[in-house]
Amino acid sequence: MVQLFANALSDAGLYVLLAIGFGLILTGTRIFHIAHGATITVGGYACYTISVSAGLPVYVGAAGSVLAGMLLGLVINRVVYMPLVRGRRGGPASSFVLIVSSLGAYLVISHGISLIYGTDTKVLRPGPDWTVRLAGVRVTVIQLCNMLIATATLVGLWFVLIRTRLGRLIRALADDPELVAVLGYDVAGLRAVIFGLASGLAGLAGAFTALDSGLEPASGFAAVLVAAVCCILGGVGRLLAPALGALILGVLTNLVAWYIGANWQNAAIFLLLMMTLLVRPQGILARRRRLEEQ
Amino acid sequence: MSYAVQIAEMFCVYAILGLTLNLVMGYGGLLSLSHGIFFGLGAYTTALLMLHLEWQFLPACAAAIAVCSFVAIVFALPTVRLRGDYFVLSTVALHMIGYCFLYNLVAVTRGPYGITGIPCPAIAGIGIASRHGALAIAFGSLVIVTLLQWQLARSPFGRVLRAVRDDETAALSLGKSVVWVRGFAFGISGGLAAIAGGAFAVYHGYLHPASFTLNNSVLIVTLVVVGGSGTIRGPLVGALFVTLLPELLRFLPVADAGRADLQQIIFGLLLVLAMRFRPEGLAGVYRYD
Repeated sequence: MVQLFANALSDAGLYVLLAIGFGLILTGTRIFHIAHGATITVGGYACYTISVSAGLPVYVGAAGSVLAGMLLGLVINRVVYMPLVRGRRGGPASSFVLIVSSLGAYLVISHGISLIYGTDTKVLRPGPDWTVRLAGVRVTVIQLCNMLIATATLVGLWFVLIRTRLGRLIRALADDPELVAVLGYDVAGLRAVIFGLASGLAGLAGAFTALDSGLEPASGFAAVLVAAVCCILGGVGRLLAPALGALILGVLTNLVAWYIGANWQNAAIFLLLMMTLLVRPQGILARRRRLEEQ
Repeated sequence: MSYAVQIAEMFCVYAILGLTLNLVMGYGGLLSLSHGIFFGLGAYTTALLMLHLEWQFLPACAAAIAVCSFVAIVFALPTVRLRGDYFVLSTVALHMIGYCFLYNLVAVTRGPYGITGIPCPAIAGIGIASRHGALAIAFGSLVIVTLLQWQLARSPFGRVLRAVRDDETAALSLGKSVVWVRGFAFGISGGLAAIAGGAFAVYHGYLHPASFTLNNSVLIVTLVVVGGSGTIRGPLVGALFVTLLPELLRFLPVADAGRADLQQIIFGLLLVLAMRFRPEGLAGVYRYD
């Protein structure tokens, strides 16, 4: 049982990395960024290329993942979203248009990857995992890293968002983009910063997912769905709330895998999502917004 | 000849799916990524009824329509209240849950082993033993769905649906129930998608969950976006496009696996470009504003 919760914590760590970036974009720019999944995949493949194909140490690979993720996120923002947000003839695009474009970008990037690397599963670590025993629980080094990095990311992000000027601006943008623009701040620049930050995290998450469970081109979609579920569960509009969603999801997936079977995990995740949407659509931590605030 | 039959069959199935999704997307203004699961549910219901209870094709297909519209309405009535992104995510959730059941309920659907030996259909006592006959069923279904859709779009219900799409508040203030109108549209759309499933099942005689993945739902959305939404001709053009593109790509000197990726890349590019430059698609009217 303790072992189960150790695994749940480690998975939650991964989910935090996946979800925080997605949530940052969803709250900050109000784009349902499906192509985030492609960024996650690209992060994983960047790590694979650097640490396996080129034979460099894994931490160099992870750094490369962050850079690759950032770059891709900025490009997607510039090429796909900016023209739409600036607006066609009559004002900015609807969420329908944004989400379909995002889906298109996801298809292009993820199938571009499988065109280059093939669809077979790539393994980043040959041989068995290194494990350590902590208080009677067996954890792998990767799992330990997951938890540490997730905690560090949360603390770092909390510091940036609450304590710095940039963080205040990001929160202001999440609250009311028009007001931020009227006050003379560079909204487009801020959006780019958000995309860079979130996509860098996505790249890192991709590297860790790949180290944990291997890598294939189509895995990004499942990852972005998990990220979306964490965000909605935790609370939309609260920048750090996805962490709570990640924790719940980590416990849920491990419980289901243990008692029912790993092949029912998806059904459990999405049933939980449906129930959240129907009973408390604003999520656990957020308060319900009034209609005119949306 | 069997090659042409194969392509014609694919066109009919895609066209029915596109036309029915268009009711939700083009006339209703809602993005749904769950259409592939109604297709699958329809196919499995038809096949299982024909195989185990030895029903005829028509009653089995009618039962599939009933099952699918029931599921669709029960799903849609609470969820159409959600705002844009959340509704899309809930349709994804519906698809994932449905797929999980198709794949894991081995006792009923035989999961990853697939269903084989689906009998040849018989209509009004006339047995249809060839693939040409199964194609005739698919084509007949397409004609019926097209006519239905055409009538529906001209009917008062179609007008209210478009009104709700264009201005929810205005329709509400005129006493139209936004939730019920959208819920019914979703129910009709899901129910009619079962026809495509039934035609698909009796044509192939074999079903496997891999035919009904989320990719399939994405493909149907692509078809409607590229062909055009809010018209009858739009999804027909789109279905023609997604049927012919893989065949045209055969002429390229690429390996088989690469060709499938190339096709998806083209679809993705088209989605991005269509949203940017021509949201109404090739032959549509609605611009998803």
